Amino acid sequence: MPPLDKLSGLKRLSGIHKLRDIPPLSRAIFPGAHCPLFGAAMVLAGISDALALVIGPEECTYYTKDFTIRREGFGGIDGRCVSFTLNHNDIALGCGEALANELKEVILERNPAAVFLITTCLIEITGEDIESVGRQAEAETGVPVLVIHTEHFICENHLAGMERTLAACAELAEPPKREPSGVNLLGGRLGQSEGAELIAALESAGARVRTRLPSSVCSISDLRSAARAKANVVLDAIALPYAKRLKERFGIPYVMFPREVDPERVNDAYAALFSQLDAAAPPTLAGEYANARKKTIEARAVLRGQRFIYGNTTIPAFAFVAFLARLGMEPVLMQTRDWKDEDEPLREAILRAGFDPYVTRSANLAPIRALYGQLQPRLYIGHEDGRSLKAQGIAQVTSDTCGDLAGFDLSCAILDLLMEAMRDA
Amino acid sequence: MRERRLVRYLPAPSERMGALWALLSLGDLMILEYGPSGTTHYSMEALRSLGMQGTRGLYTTHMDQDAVVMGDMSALSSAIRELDELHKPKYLAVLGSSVSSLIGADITALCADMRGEISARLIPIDHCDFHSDFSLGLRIVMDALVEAMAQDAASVPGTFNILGVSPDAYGARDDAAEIARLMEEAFGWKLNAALPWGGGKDGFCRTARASINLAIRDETLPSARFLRGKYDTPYHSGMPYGYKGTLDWLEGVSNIIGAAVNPRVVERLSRKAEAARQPLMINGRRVERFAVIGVYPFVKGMCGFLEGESGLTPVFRICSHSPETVESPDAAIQFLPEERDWMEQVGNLRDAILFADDVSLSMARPSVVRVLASHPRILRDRTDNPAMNGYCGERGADLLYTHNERED
Repeated sequence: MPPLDKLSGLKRLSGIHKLRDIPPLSRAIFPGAHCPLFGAAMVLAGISDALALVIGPEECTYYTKDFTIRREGFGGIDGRCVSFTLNHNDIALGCGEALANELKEVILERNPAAVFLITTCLIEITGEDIESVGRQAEAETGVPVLVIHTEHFICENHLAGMERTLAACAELAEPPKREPSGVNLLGGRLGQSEGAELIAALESAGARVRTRLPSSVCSISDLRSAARAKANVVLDAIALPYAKRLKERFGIPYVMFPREVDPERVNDAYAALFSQLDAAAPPTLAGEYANARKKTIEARAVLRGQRFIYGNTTIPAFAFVAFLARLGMEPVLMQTRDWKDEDEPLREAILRAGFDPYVTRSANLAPIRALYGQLQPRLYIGHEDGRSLKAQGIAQVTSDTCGDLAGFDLSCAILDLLMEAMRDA
Repeated sequence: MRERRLVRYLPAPSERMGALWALLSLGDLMILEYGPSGTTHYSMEALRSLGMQGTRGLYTTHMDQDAVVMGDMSALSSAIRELDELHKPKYLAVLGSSVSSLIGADITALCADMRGEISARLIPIDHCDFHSDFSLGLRIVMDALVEAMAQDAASVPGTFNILGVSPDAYGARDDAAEIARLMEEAFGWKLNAALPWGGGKDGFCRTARASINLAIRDETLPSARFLRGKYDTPYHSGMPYGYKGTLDWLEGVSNIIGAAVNPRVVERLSRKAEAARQPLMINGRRVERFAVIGVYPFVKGMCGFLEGESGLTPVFRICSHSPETVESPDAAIQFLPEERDWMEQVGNLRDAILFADDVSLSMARPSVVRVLASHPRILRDRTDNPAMNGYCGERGADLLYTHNERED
């Protein structure tokens, strides 16, 4: 592969203002973006008594079930994911009646708190009216049935499936009967211990955390009572449509608290959060902030001048790269899966720091591997085959071990990982 | 009675899944999928449970609205040109998807149109979903690759191919290794290529060099007949199970190649066959009944062994795929497309040994001795070890009898 030709086809950050400005690095891609069906399954892992019914060909249903068997929270082989597998008659003649029958049967058999009917590309193309099947079953059984559309040929990646699944949950919320109190945490991909620092800070400020959506402790009952919260705290943009819908339906305000690494931005987020809650920030946070700043200064001495490729992590790409640029690290290539208006100040911050990295879309590793020799990064941040990187002398950092962290905890953990990678490199 | 459509566990993998697994099992074939990228990404997650590592050479085009709504196939032709130019592959398999099948994308015609401008030999496989299951996928891939890749060559005496070593069968590579060992010891013959899993592109190219093709899956019989017609290579069909069964299988091969089975092998297998007639004891319990679920040759072979040689009584024998690819299917073997039917039989099984997949085994009662011997194998996490053992041949029978605590 001729890397220089490919590099010249890439655009730099300064020339990009929206996702469509990013040219594909190649026509043949690998592995490609995950589909929204996968995103829907990820969210439903975190609603403990919801049943997922996937409507699609064997491939989509098999792999989703296989994923849910291995994913904590779905209940294994006998778990909360079942399928309606399409055959050629369904494609040619429709499957509404058969689906309605099976849906009612599984509701009677499993007695779920709610059913999520998840479509796939095929059933979206044939145009089957899944909503009417859901409404009919809901009327007959009294169990809420929500429809999640996951046509991958329209969506960019799995985030659309996560967003739509969360948004559908907003319709389950019931009008509050008591004075609102506490907050909901939305859009995290949290284990039970997720966001310990954030939760402790909220609770010491008198704001009890009510519902964590999705999470191992979230149920349909929690979603029904979600409107009892005084405010929604949004940890990831995938939960914004949910938060906006609750604001629209019940007037519940929301505040963003994105999972970011830069202690300055974390500090700002805490300030905005407690301002929204009309509460004083707990004094312990000042100590956490000072500690994170100290670590940042120490890290800067080691990381300054190190070239890196940013791949794919659960932390928003622009905020992460902008922070590393502030530390003096040189981004040579960044991969991104989305591009939001809110990213513009971060894009400018990277450019102001004196860096203008190449930008490409994530989930196309094959052609990027051919560029390592030209780009000569010291670090690769994100998922990639560790053996390929090691063979080229590139150290790797993933954020997998930080999935449960938010706030200054996340800042410190990421800085530790970066320092450790440089020591081992 | 209405058709049951709900699948509570794992549906039978589709023909496209079987085709993709067979193509990937070569390990060095370039493959381009024409479909939404999500399925490509998703499929990777399941490969480890089949015992496969890596997806080198796999690419996708992804499909957007233009492709789906307007039928625009330019993304596919551009990707083919790009791979041809950048990697200069000798062969490029172009695999359709359920979406490309639904919209009627004619991948075969596009590949034919591009033949003049592309250096790679394009191998279109656009028969995807809605028709059958993974077994047909294996047959389609074997037919396509043998026809496209086999090169003219003089046959090398004393060599053989194994046709049908496929990741959809549990322990397939162990089984192939056992067949190669048996052929070496019984006749002094050497393996030319195990296909599709193990031989790679080179194995398909060298197919004509073998002096006999051992078609261990019925899905490969059309390929075996193609090779017989083109290169005059004889073939033998079937898979060896049990001690007597293995000896019979070797005698069958012997009749075709005209070489006698090594007397030492005959003596040893005969002696073990005699010993296997004693009661089967596992975990201190005498086992008298058995049940099997799996791909056809496994079910057929294990039943012959356990019933015919060991004297166990079969409770049920279920083939995990459609009989469409099976020539002269055994009437005693059931093909059960509906999940409920096999669930019911597994749930009712008592005091028996069950050779089956992880899903079926999870439903078996405590009185059932459970042996993982079919896919799907469920990997619980990324550290789970996907090592497997096949049950074919002498070694497979030994594997079962190492658990056997003889009654004295």
